[in-house]
Amino acid sequence: MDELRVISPTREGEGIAIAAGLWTGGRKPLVVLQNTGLMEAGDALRGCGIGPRIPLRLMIGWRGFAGAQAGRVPIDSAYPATEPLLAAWNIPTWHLMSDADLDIVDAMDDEAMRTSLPTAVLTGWAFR
Amino acid sequence: MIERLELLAAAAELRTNEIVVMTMTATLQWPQVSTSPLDFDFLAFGMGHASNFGLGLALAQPDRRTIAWKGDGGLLMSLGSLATLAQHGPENLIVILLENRTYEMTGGQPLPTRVDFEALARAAGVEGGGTGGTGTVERWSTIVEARHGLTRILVEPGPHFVVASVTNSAPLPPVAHSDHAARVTNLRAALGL
Repeated sequence: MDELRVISPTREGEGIAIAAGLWTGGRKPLVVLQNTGLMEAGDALRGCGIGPRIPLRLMIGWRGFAGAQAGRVPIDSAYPATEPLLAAWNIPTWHLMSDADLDIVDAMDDEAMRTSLPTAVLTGWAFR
Repeated sequence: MIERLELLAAAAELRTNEIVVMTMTATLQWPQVSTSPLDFDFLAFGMGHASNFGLGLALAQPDRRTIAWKGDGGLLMSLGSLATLAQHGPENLIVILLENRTYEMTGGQPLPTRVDFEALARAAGVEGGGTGGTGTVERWSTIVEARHGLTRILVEPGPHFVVASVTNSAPLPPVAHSDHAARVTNLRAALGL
């Protein structure tokens, strides 16, 4: 297995910028964040991913999904905003909701490489 | 106080094969002193994140140094990056903070006056930090200090964090928004990728 190195920045926008530098320098980063972090990282994602066509792979935890599925109120505002936000940025997104969905990680990876743009998977409560 | 263009010219003279990441107003002046294919214009790539991008480059390219120039307004937007530098900054990373105490790019609005950038970096653990435990923090207030400092940090292990006290009296060229994707592909090509 190739070496996997974990870098833990202080906020998600930092992580996006570090990942962009890693990719520009020849490495292949995966950014793991929560949907609220995606919202925090907006300008970094625009500037270090979409604008310069850097194929960032995003694995996004879908906060609020489980509560919404269970019918709990109030609904976490992060839940309904997540998919429209990704759609507004034209970021191809897959749902990684169970072990059976793991192949979509390859699909995300392939699409990022094909388009040279950011792609994402959303992970919900059932994934373990 | 150092005249910024003079500092940039000294850095361009002394650097050899380093990647140079430039951001904000200094991107307008750097091309006046350097046209290396290893130069990277970070302008409009993400507010406050030039040194984070540089950290990623330095980790990916361990056999050469990366110099990331950063504005003091940008650092105030990303103070956490100092803690990241202290924890994950590799020995081949140099961050030079151009301290002019204004948000120059957006019209020269003043920064908060009491902030001490050297103290912030030390409090974040940069000195003695980084992946090799060799991090340094220093201040350059004259061009003589800057030349001596550049000569040293271009060979000694870091990560290095420098506060360079600068002013600028040179006329600024207009902003030239070159293609962002081309900036990335051009640097990757220069790195043989």
